[in-house]
Amino acid sequence: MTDAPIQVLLLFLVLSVSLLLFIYLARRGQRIELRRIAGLESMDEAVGRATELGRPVLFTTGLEPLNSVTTLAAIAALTRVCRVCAKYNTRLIVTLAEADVYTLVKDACQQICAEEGKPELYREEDIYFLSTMQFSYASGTAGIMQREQVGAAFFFGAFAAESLILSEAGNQIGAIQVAATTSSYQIPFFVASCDYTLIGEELFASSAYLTRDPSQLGSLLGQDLAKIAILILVVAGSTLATLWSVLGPEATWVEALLSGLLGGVLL
Amino acid sequence: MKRWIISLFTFLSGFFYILEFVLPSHTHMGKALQEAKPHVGEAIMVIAAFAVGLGVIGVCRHHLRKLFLRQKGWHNSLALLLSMFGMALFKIWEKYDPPELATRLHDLLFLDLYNQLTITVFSLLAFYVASAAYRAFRVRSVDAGLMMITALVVMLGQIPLGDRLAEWLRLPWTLTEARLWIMSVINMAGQRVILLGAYVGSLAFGIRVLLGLNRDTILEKDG
Repeated sequence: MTDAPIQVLLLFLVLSVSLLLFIYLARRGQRIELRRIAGLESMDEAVGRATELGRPVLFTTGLEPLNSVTTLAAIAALTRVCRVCAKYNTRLIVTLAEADVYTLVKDACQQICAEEGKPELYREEDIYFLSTMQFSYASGTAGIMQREQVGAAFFFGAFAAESLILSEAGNQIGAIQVAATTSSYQIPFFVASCDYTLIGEELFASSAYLTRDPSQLGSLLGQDLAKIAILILVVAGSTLATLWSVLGPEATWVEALLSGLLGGVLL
Repeated sequence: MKRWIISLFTFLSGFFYILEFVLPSHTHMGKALQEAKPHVGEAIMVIAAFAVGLGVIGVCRHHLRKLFLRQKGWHNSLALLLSMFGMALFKIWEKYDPPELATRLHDLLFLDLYNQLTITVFSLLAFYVASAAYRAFRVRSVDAGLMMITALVVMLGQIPLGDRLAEWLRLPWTLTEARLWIMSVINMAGQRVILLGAYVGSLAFGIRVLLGLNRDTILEKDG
């Protein structure tokens, strides 16, 4: 196996240090302002609307198993939705495509209902492990949405071609829909079919945004700083590559700089 | 105590893979970690197998209860249980003693039934794309108008008629060229921004999980 280039290690260290630094500062009381994210603001509204209509809420965590960070972020958002549902006495249906996620989600929902003083609201039969097969999971979820006439649907996690099947099924029954995914090819489908869509990193920011926990808010600031550092590297790399193509192979200093920046990976 | 144990195992298992990735393989530590990697992977697979087992037990409990109590939709539960155990039984039968009957029964369930149902669900996408596109391309604002024009160029650029149209309109470029430019410059830039944000976000989220900083999850309250 090839070793990670030193540049990758340095980048990883810079990212980690900036994250930990801002987590530390936030814990010490530094105030952190977040921009408004409409999709996350609408979560309570969506559950509230389903409650008014007397319909259940559906949440699904996508196709990936528990070792995916995207699924973990989706579960963090699910805990929030479950808490709001428990507060409003609203039935929550969860459909899942992975058995390991099923085990965790079942325990999480049961624990949250108990914490909210409403253990009777937890119904094991409303947590569905449908199938690990993409379209079986999609048709199962779409069928449940149609049969139960859900009032609100949350699609958080990693999705593939089934994204439109799920969101159009919700659209047909008039459910208020919130989607959040890092799958860039599915974002247009969700934008076209859902009321609110969280794009890419907004999914990972959701737990920080919803809980306002200082540690999580600090990590958001740290990750913004890391993105600025990466953007500077992108601009520097693009400038050097342009210079290299204009000046030609004689410009060895440009080549050396570019090679150093990329760790000899692309040259 | 429960939270402490979970946090410790999460941290150790995550940190193992980080170290294995960043430490050079020629160092003593790096070599040891690389040698241990397959064994750690196997241990994780064993734990994951238990989780799958729990999942299967959960599914069986759920559908057996529905079946025995004759709850609404019990016949669907019966179909699911029969298919699940039938598929497993025929595949195991076929593997150890391959008679023609077992293969035929397995193929009947998998190729003739399951595959066809999957294709049917997949084909629904064509209709859903049409209805979603209709909603997305309604020109209600400048943004929606720009998106519609862009989509039109991309779609026409996919077919020969688009290039004929560009010729007829005496445009300085063909619609195929316009499509390629939109997809490889504008669209690609957007995709990369989303992916960059998602990767950094996932790294930050991963570090939070490793350090047990993610509140309002199952780990929040001590068990």
